[in-house]
Amino acid sequence: MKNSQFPVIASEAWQSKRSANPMRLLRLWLAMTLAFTSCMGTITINKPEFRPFLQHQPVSQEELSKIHKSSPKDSVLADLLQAFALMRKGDIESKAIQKQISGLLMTSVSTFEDLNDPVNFSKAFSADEDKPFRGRPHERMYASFMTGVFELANNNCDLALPYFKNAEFLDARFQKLPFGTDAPLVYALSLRCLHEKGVSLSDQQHARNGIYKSVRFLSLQEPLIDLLIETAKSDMRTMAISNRMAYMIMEVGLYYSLLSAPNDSSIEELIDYAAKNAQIFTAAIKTNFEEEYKAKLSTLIKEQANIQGQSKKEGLKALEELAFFKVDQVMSSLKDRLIKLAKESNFNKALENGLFASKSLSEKIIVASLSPKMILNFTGMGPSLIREGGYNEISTVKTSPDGTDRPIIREKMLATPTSCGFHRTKGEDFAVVLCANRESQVKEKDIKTMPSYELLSLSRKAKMIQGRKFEQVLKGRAQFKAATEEISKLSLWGAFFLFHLGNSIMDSCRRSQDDSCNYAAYAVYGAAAITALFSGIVWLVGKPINPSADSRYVHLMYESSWLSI
Amino acid sequence: MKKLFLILFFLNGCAISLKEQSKLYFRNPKKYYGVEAPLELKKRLEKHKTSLEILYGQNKTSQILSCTFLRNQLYVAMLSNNLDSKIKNAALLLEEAYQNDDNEFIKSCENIFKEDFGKIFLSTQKEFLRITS
Repeated sequence: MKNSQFPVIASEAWQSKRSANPMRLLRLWLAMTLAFTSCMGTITINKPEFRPFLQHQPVSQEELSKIHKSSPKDSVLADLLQAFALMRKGDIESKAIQKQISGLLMTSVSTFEDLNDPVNFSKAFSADEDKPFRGRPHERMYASFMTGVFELANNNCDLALPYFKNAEFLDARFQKLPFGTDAPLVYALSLRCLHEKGVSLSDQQHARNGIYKSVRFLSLQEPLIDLLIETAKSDMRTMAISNRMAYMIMEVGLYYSLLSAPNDSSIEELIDYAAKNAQIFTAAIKTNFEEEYKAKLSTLIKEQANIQGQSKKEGLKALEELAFFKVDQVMSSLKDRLIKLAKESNFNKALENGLFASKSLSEKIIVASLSPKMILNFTGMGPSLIREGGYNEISTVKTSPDGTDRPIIREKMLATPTSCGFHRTKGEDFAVVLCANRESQVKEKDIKTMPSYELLSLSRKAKMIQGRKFEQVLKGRAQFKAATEEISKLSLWGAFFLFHLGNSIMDSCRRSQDDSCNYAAYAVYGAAAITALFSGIVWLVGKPINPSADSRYVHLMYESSWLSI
Repeated sequence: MKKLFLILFFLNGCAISLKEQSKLYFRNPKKYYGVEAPLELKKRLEKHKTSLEILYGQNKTSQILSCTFLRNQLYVAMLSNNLDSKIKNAALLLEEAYQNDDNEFIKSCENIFKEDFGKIFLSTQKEFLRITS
């Protein structure tokens, strides 16, 4: 739209240079605006060189090299898109393609290493599209995980293991608090590698524990949070400040407990573990949960201060400190109420079922991980990223239609190849059957329908990972841009008014034929010109600021990773 | 005679004002973060009655509802008007108890219901419950 109008307006503007009519000047200004904005708008994935990826098609090696040269900041994005396009549309059974995919993934993952540098760390999420792409946390984790899968399929455990470790680390790193990963498949594949390498049982313990704890996290999270909500809903003093704070802390405490408490913990012990570790989270509540804290508690504290006639800063601070001071005491009574309800209400059954499911499923996963054949399937389209806000300054992850936000392990009967190696399955999905040794990698077309469990859901992972601050930075920039535009618009209207006033004075001067009157008109014209100049300067100050969030993401990743058991 | 009439008029004005103050919460509770809307509170306690009885004992729901209504009535009145110092002190005590402890809260609430102004607040609650049941 902008591009098609541009030549007409520009040519009019060019002709208008010959006269100083204010309307023509305005047109010239508009034409320049259009020319400027039309150059800035194209998002990376819509650039011609990236278009094949929109159709899930890989590009040739030459085209990929061309992208690397012409747009080095998008190299990692192009490599990741190419790797996943090859997984989706390439000949996945070909050794050369597998090697190419693995190489692309490795190159991408190695660029994440520069996050060790604190300067780069703060820029890691590439708030701007003109900064080097480093992927979002779930993309990095998944890239590292898939590298491990391809290396493990090639019976290269020495190389695969560090990638699984890295995936665990990358997943844990960007959570609100330092948890391990909740993707059981990362631990299951690590265990397989450790077992193949002949590592002792004690050295395998981290991976075995990881399987149990991540499965427990997914099986018990919903019933435990439901129990917490029920306790809050049946709380006599649910609006008391310390109680509200205690619920916030207990929620995080329960997540922590599910991923950290000893494997043989009962429901009661899990709740107790969460309450005992509450002090870890009390300190973090105002920093790690700043927005929730402000929304849920700051307003309550302010009202409370008004009631108590302590609305001054010191009074507010004292009330806040008192609320924090009371949390430990409230936490202990909250723990008792949770345990009472867990034992005596209908929640008991759901909780015990969750605990039982954690045990039985993790045992099944361990058996599948250690068996001669381990069957993995990769299906569906991963989460998408959309931009919202007046200036596209907010980026939001949308759950894939193939996925779910719920913390659950989905189960389904999956028709899967069972012979060793890579196989194209339905559409763009693929399966890999890991075999203990190369000799057993014999190709036979044998498809079986088997119960399978989703042990890594990318949408949930993408939505769960939080603590990113770049949206706020962009929000600030959007506000600045909006302010400059508003000031520019207002002063431009002011300039028009002054021009109009000058014209009126000039007309009346002509009628009265008074020279001194003309000077007044020129003075008003001068003021109009200065106002117009000011408007232009303010507009130019705001113009180079691009508050849009980064639109780049790897849309070709798989939503679900299944383990057939 | 004129003075007596004025005193009676003033006292009558105070009574109306107190009754009105006890109604403020039921009229416009959404203005404040620290209180739940009356109908929402009533429905919540009805819905979670089983859990409430497990946690606080049998037949406690109506007392909890009544005391929470009282706390909310006083909370809204405190933030909207200049209360009489006696009521203000009682309201502050109840709020402190609410912020501190379950038993302390119930005890403080029972004490207020024994007072004359407590009875006025209670009658407003009953009126609300009668209309909404």
